[in-house]
Amino acid sequence: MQESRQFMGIKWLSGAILSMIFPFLAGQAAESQVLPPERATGQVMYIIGSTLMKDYTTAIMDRLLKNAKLPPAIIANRGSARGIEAFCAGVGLNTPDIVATSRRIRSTEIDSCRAHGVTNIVEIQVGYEATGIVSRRDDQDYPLNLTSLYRAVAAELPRDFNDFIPNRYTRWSEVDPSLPNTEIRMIIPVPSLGGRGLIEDQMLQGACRGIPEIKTIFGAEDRVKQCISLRTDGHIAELDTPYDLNVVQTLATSPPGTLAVIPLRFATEHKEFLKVQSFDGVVPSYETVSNHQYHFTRPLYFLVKKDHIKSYRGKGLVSGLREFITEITRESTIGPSGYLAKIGVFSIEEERRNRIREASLRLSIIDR
Amino acid sequence: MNKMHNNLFIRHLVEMILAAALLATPFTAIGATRSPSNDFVSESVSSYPADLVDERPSLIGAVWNYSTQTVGWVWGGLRDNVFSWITPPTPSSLTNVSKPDAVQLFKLLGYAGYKLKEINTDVGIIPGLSFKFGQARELSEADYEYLESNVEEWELKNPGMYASLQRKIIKTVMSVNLSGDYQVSTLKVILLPLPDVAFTMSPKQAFLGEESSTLMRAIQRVDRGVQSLGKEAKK
Repeated sequence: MQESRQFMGIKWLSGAILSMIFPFLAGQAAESQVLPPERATGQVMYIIGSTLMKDYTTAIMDRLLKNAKLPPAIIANRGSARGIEAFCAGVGLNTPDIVATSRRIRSTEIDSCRAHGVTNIVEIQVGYEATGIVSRRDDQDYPLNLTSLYRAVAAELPRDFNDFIPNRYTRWSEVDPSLPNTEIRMIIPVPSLGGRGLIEDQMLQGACRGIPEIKTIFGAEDRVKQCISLRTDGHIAELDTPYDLNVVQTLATSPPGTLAVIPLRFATEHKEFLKVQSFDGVVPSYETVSNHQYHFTRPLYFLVKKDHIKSYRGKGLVSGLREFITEITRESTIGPSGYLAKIGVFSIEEERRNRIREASLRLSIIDR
Repeated sequence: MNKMHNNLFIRHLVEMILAAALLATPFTAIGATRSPSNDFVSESVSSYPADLVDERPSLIGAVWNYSTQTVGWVWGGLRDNVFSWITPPTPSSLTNVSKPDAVQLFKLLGYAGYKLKEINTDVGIIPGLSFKFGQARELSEADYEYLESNVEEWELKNPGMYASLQRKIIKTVMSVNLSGDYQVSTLKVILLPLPDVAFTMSPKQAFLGEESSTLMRAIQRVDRGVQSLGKEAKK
């Protein structure tokens, strides 16, 4: 009994030391891909993935550290594509257990996983991240849609079939008579920021799917290039990190009619100053995002390697993965009043949430 | 003996009536559900004209009526169906397809970069009906994500087998186009006489034939000429 207590004491002490040195080790691992020796014992989880998911992953791990007494995980933020690539590299302690992505894994990526022996993947959606268009709180309403937005920001607009001319619109009312008669000014993230991808993929390419002159360009490369080229005549400002603070500062000194594209969690943080504009007649909210009425969203996923999960009988590679899955499917985590919702995650509709929870706890693997 | 025959006759008659009643019940039920007036208007029995004028029908008459109604119903159904089986829809009706599943398949094939090129119909004892789709554009990564999210949404709304088969077509096209050096250049969806899907695959980087190559070189020469003219005009 005495011996057992002593052993427990040593275990707790080593745990405490590990938790103190691990943030440093985690940072090192993220930079150099060299994993700390503790990983070899399977006591530490290895999570890789999207930068956008960093805050959410950290919040989940904080809960697990506190409630399940798990050691801190190795967290590497590499972006969704590179994260999935590393995740699919194979099975074993030198590969990640979990990948956090801001999009759904593609069929080709699943095929690549399978080719490397990663055949059993548990896919868990935890919610959505939404992006919106904001103005200063005292500004007018700008009821934009895909067409008016594209006309305002595109470098070139189609004139006749297969003929494009430089964009000459200078005022919002020229783009669409229902918009205020103010100068076109738009703030967007620089191309290196994750939010820019959503603007290009969903807003600009979404608009181009409805423009015959662009839609009929056969080659994807040529079409996308034509579609996402933005005007450079001073109507668009590109801002870098810290994006939300830069947006607030720029909007404060800009004339009326200046609009910015920002993640809605930032808009909520600065709600005393920012006003969220409706898009296509839909105001982004928890309800409209959950029921897919509002489209500018990205699904947030965690993919877990089933072959790494250590069972209750001690069979498997890594401890803590079951606890991780249980944590990310709890109502107090992903529900509308869960702690992820408080930091900007839009929850999935209840029925689907329940189905995801049920399938995840059964460790159902992707069947695509 | 005579009494025994009488008893047997009555027994058979009762059995026939019961059997007829049992047979007729589903058809009368179908009739009742098919009549839209039953849903909205309730009439009292005494106000129904047939009850006031006609004689009360005899049991044998009732059996006869039920039998003829049943035969009529079966023949009517068969006749309508057989005619609709051997006469496929016209091309004009197909271009205005109103079935949600078919509309969804066409829509998703559009998102996948395919356009309807031909509708072939054969009228006859063994009718034929097929749709031919051709590739109209390559997809970007964003297009693939958009298509996948639409397929996923459709899957949630329509988990049925028919919709699932249609999704399988889209997924096959996607997986061929995404992996390897080949792409689905044409897609033929055959509905009649037997459902079938034919994929025509061609290399993504195909070598040009002699005629096409000559044509391409001529276009390139004209293009170079136009560009040099433009440069001279700027000077």
